Amino acid sequence: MAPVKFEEDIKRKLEERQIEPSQEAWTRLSDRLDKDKHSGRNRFWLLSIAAGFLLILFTVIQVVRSPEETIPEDNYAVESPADNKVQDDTVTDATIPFETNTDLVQGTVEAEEVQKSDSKSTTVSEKLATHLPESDVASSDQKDMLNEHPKDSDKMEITKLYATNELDESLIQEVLQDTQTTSENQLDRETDSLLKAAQKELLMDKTMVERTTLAQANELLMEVEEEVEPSLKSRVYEVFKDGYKKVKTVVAQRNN
Amino acid sequence: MKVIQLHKNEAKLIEKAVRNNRKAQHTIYELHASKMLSVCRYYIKDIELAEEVMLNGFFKVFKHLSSFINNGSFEGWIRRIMVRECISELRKRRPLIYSSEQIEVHEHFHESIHSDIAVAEIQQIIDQLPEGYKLVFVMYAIEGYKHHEIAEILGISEGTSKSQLFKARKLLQEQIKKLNQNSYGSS
Repeated sequence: MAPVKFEEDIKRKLEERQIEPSQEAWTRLSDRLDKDKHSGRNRFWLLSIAAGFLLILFTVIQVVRSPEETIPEDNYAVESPADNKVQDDTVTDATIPFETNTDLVQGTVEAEEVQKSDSKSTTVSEKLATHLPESDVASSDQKDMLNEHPKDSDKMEITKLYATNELDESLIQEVLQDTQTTSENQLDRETDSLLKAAQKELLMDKTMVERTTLAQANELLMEVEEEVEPSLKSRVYEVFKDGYKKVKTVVAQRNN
Repeated sequence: MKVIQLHKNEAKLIEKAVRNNRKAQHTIYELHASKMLSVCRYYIKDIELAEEVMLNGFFKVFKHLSSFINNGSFEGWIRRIMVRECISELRKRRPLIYSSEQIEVHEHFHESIHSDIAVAEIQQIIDQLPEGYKLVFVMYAIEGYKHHEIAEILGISEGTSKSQLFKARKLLQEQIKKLNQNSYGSS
C-alpha cells in the first residue's frame, strides 16, 4: 500500500505528545499496590494456616490409629510366660485352648482360686494403706512399695513401717494374722494342686506302660500263631495227649 | 555507551520493581506515565477515564513485571498492555460495531497536514471518527500493528480491518482538508 502522507504527519505529531497525569494518580496506584500486597500476604497466611491445620489433622489421625494397631501386641505380651509364678497362675482364658489335657485345665481352675487369694492379700495392703494416717504413710515411696509387692514382701514392709512409724499395734496384728492365714491357705492350695498334678501324671505314665506292654505281647503271639502252621511234633503231641486221656479213663473205669 | 548504561539501569530498575520496591516502581511510572496517558488518549476521549485506564495498565505492569523478558523493549511491552487495556475498557462500555462492507482499496491519499495544525486538533478529528474506524486507524497508522494482528486483537477478519482503515482514512482526509483550508485562511 502506498504511504499516506497525512498519516505520517499525524503519527509524528501524536508521538511527540506527552500528557502529564494528575498528581494523585501515583498515590492511587500506590494504594492499590499496597492493598494487593496485603491481600497477597493474607492469602499466604490463610494458605499456611490451612496447611498447618491439615498437617495437625493428619498427625492426630496417625496417633489415633497407632494405638489400635498396637493392642494385639499388648495382648500377646500378657499371654507370654513370665518369670513370676503368680503371673503363670493368672494366665488368661486365651491360653486355655492350647492345653489339651483336662487335668491341666483343672489345675488352672485351682490356680484361679489361688489368684483370688492373692487379690485378697493385695486388698490387705490397700486396707493397711487406707488405715494408716496420712502423715505416717505420707512418703509416696512407701505407698509405691506396698502397691508394687503386695504378696511377697507384705510382712517385711509392715514390720518396716512398724519400726519407722508408730502405728496402732492391734491393727498391725490384725493385718499380720490376715496375711499369715491367707499365705498359709495359699501355700496349702498350691502344694495340693501340685501333688494332684504329679499323681495324675504318674498314673498316666503307668497306664501307658501297661497298655504298651500288653499290646506288644498280644501282637507277638498273634504273629507267631499266624506264622507257625500245625507241625508233626504238635500232631504227635495231640495223639499222645488223646491216648493218655483214654488210658486214664480206662484205668479209672477198671478201678471202679 | 550511554544506551548500554541506560539499558543496564532499566534492567536494575525492573529487578527492584519486581521485588515490590516502591521507589523503583515510582521511577518506572514517572518515566513512562505521560507517554502512556497519551497512548490511552488516542483511544479514549475522556481524559479522566484515560488516566484511570492508564493506572489499571500500570497496575498490571507491576503485577506481571516478572513475566517481562528482558530482551525486548520495555516501553513497547508497557505500550501493548495499555492498548489492550483501552480496548477492553471500550468493549466494557459498549459493544464495538464494525461495518462488514468490503471495499476495494485502490485510492491514494496525498493530503498532508499543515505544520501549524496543533496536536489537539488532530486528536479532535480522530475522536470524531466512529469507534471501529478509530480503533483500526490508531492501531494501524500510529501503533504500527499489522492487519492480522488487529483482526486477532479485535476479533474481526482482516478484510474488515482493511475496510475500516480505508473508511477512516477517507473521513480523515476530508477533515484534514477542512483544517488545512482553515489554517491557510487564518494565516
